[in-house]
Amino acid sequence: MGLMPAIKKVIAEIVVLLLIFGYSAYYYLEVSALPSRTINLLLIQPVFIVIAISTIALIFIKVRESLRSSAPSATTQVSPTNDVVLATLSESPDGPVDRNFIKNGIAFGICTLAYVLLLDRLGFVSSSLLYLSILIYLLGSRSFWLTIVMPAAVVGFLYVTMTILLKFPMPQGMLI
Amino acid sequence: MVEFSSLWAGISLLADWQVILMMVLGLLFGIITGAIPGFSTPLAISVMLPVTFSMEPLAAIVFLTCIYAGGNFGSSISAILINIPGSPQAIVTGLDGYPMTRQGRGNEALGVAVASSAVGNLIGAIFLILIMPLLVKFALSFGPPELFLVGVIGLTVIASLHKSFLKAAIAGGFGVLLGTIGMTSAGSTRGTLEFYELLDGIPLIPALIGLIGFSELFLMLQRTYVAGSAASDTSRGGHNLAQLLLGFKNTFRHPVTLFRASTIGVLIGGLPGAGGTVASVVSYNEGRRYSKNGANFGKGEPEGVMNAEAANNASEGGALALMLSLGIPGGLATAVLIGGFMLQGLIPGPRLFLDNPALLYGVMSAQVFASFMLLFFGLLVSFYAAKIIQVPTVVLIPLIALFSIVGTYAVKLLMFDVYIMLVFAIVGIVLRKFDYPLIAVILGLILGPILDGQLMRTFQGHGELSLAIFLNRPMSLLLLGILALSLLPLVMRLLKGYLKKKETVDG
Repeated sequence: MGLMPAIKKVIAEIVVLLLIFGYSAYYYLEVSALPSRTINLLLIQPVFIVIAISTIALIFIKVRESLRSSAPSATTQVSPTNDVVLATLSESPDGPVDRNFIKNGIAFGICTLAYVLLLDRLGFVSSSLLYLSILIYLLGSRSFWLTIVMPAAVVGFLYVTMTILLKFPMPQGMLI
Repeated sequence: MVEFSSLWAGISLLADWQVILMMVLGLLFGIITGAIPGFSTPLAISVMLPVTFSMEPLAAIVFLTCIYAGGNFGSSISAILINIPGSPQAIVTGLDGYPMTRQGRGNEALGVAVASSAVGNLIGAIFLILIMPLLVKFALSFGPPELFLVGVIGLTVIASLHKSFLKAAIAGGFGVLLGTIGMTSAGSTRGTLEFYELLDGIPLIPALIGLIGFSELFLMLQRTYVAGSAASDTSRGGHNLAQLLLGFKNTFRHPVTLFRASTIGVLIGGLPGAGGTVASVVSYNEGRRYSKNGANFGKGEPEGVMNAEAANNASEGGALALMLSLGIPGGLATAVLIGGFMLQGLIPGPRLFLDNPALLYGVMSAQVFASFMLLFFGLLVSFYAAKIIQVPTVVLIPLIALFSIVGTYAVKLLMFDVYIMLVFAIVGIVLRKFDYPLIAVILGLILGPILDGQLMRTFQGHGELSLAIFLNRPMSLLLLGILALSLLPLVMRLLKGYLKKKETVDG
């Protein structure tokens, strides 16, 4: 792994740790302010302490690891196994980030969010149809059957099963 | 001791065409989805979870447990044919299964996998039926301090077995805090952010679907063989029924191997956080040590497949025993199964066994019958395996996403549940990305209210909370001993690291 990605990874790890710790601290403080403090904190307090100690310890370990991983760069200049070390360091254990994955991930995230927000505004049938067709297209399929016919069949099946047979009132909006 | 009247009542409940149909559908769904790379068993169960809402309790639970059984076997199909396991528990199966495919013996490997999986599942199910009454009797002697300690042990074992104890501890603690959200018995509300929908706590089903199912879709996107075309070359395996039956038949010539692997699977399956993957690794290594053909392991040795598959499938029995008797999910699949029980208004634990013995014996007996069904349906699906793993997977992600969203909504007809599911999906993606064990969060989420309630009862019963309360009760003392033992893997790991470091410095 290169030096910059390694530092970036450590920073990202610490940000996630701090987010979890931040939520836990907020929750702990909120519960502390409640009446019947002792009873309400019986479990919350020890759990919060475990999270706090583990977070501090993990941040310490991550920072120490990142400092150590940056140290060999000076010594590798004279090391006979320089090439091997560099080759090892330059290889990300997570593997290279696939551009396709980023594109697909963004498409999936945006489409899903839009679908959930539009579900009770547009209606189940129309929003589901749009969701399936657009997402399948964005993920790379150009087949008429897969982008149009299959989504229509699936949504039709779900509509008949949920609304007509099982009598579940699915969200209805401007359309159906 | 097994109560034969309840066992018979349970078996009688299975003599219903709807239950049998659900068993067959569950097995087929489990095997087929298991064979698709990336479609893990917990994901398959979580997709089908909302579907069970309108079913009868036995049919619903048997359907889900059969998906579990089918998925455990199904994941070996792609491991054998294309060296990509459907789920992590089949990684070891591929070590010998794939070399067999390359030697043109792919169908033989599939036959071995079917037979070993069915035997493993059968031994796991028999163990489950035999051990459950003992576990329940043991659990019923627990008071609030013991029930609290059992929950703590569950979380500690997971943390201790995870490669980062600290991350697992944080994940478990985070889950416990989330699990305590809602109205307390003292009448206060905690962490609801003023959403009245959270007064009863975080809705478990949407949280499980988000954490386990939806977050996994992102992993599927990351794999090129899912978002792209599956580059499978199954022609090397041939499509020969005779070869399939040969592997199937030869497996039964190794009863000792099957029994040893299944026993290892059952015992490890009962450890929280260990599951089928660890079971198959341990069993494979033990198999290599004892086998006459140990040197051929990794080069296409059928006994390697047997060891991995029998242990992997038998682990289900151990995991179900833990979940049904104590209400502790050992892995992601059993965590979703707890959701399935809850959808039916049932809470897994010793009381459930006392209140509904016939239902539970029915669920356990169904596993025995499912093992025999697996022999037939396993062979059937294996015969058409090459076609199944070539499903256009680009369609799978949108379909699973749609079913998850619609299913989450359909449980209570609330859009709020869908939002919760998405929030937990994001949490799941981040936790997976940074290698926090999801099972620890889920166990915390499930155990949070239980731990809180039992600790409160302990406090109310003694007027204080101190270590002396636990030390003065023999059963608590025993559980504290188990708690200390559960930290052993962590201590060993630390010691090993220290010795290695010292050796490097000295050297």
